[in-house]
Amino acid sequence: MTLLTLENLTARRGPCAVLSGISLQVGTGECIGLIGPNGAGKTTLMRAALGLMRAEGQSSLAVLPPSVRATQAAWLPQSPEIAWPVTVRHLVALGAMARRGS
Amino acid sequence: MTWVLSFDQQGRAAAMLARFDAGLAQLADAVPAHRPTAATYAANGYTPGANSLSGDIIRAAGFSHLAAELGLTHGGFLPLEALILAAPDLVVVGETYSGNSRAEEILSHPALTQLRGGRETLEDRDWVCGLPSVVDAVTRMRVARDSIGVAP
Amino acid sequence: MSFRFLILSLTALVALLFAASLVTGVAPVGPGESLVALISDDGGPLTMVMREIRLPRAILAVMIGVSLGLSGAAMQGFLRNPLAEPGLIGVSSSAALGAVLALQSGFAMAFTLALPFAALLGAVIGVAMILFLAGPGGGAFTLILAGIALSALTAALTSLLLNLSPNPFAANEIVFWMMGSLADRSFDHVWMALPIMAFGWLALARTGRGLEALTLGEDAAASMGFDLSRLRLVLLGGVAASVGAATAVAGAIGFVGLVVPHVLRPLVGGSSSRLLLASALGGAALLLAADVAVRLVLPGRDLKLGVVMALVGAPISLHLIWRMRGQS
Repeated sequence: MTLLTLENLTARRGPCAVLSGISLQVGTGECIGLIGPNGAGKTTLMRAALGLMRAEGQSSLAVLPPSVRATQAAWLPQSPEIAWPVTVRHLVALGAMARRGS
Repeated sequence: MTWVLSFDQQGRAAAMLARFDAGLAQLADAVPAHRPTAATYAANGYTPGANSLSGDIIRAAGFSHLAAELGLTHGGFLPLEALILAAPDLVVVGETYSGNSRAEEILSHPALTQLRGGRETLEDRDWVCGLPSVVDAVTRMRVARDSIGVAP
Repeated sequence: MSFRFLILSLTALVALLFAASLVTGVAPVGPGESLVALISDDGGPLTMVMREIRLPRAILAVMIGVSLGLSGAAMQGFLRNPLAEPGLIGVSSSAALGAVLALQSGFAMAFTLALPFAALLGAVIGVAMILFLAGPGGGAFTLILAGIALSALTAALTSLLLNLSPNPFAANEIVFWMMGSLADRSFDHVWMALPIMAFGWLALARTGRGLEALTLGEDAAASMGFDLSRLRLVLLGGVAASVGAATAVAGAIGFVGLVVPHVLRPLVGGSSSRLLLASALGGAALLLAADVAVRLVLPGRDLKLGVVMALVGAPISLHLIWRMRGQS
């Protein structure tokens, strides 16, 4: 079963195309590593695939309503340090928030 | 009082003085034994002391002066709580200025407006300076005193 | 410590300090006698003092403490910055400017809730400017600098308005609007502030899950399906309403929203949504304690609440700045 399909995904920052024409399929049980130097567009690909930024082309996740998408995909970005200490238990529980529903 | 000297107005001045003295004397005659308590209360909770014109007016009208009872001979700030607990029979509140101030808001505090006893609003001009109109202020206070009646 | 135990302890603390606030005053009356006079109406002056002066004062301390604690916790969660606090970043002084403008222009007399409403508008402008200038990603120091500029401007305009007032007492009240006090407030102020404050509390109570998701950053929250622009609007309305109504009746009281979440955050394991309820109760406790302290230190002299709060809060904010300096 296919979990994620990207078709001809293109994302821009200003006039500059960071991604152009990316197509990809990820199926059940697959484990994928995405490798590239700084500024290659790894984060941009993730954000565009999730629909967190505007992009041309198709992403099977980006077209879903946010609450449905959240039950199918989770993303832990490389964010700046958390502003204050959080217990490990609480941090892990955050990931399940979307699944538990509102 | 012998300082009105010139301008050929000695006659008028003397007459005015005589009326003033007569007015005071008349009021003094009628001072009863029982004196209800009166307080003056102004912005920020200021109350003039017993050694002030308003202290004299209050005494002349037949009241006992609350500030004097509380030991504020030269005036000072009396917390609203202390005023309410002293339960004066009459509170004299001056006129407020235009424009809002929190200092004057205290004068419309529900605890003060619900205080048992009378609550007289008097214009400042009667109280600030020792003018002949002081007799009128004393007279009005006397009326207020009489309306309080003889409390035990 | 379990969350339930924390909330119960804080509730007990608030109840205790509420009683302490009721029996604190210039009148030389024992605590037992005061409380009896409060409950049984003997028609005497002590009942009047308890019901019309001390009771509204203690109730206002709770309401304002809840508002400031809740607002501090919510703004910190949203901006992921422990220095975000209504007093420190100029939101309270914007609200004070709105309130002073309404009082001096006469708009405050236009309808019952005009005064807190005007303060709310002032606070909306303040919060909106802060979110615009130093929104998520703006960084700690942008936030503090924006707050300094906004505080300086609004404090100057407030002083100008009070100096222009025809009322000779108004100019002396700059310190009230900058430092805050609960002296000689009445139930009029309680009823005036409560509706707008309650609206603010309800709005902020709804931000819990969104703030929780924001712990991991905006992209993570967005990927979890949270609508961040909606969260921003709810937060703006909630903070502006609660801080606006609080400032309208008691002036700008700083540091409550900073100290309370700082102390309680470790006790809720860093959870932003649990911190909301805990900070609301903690804020009430802190403000009650501060209001008892100002009356014990200088009885009858109306020492400003902001003085006590700054003595407690400024060292903590300096410590937080020092710690952030180490990180960057």
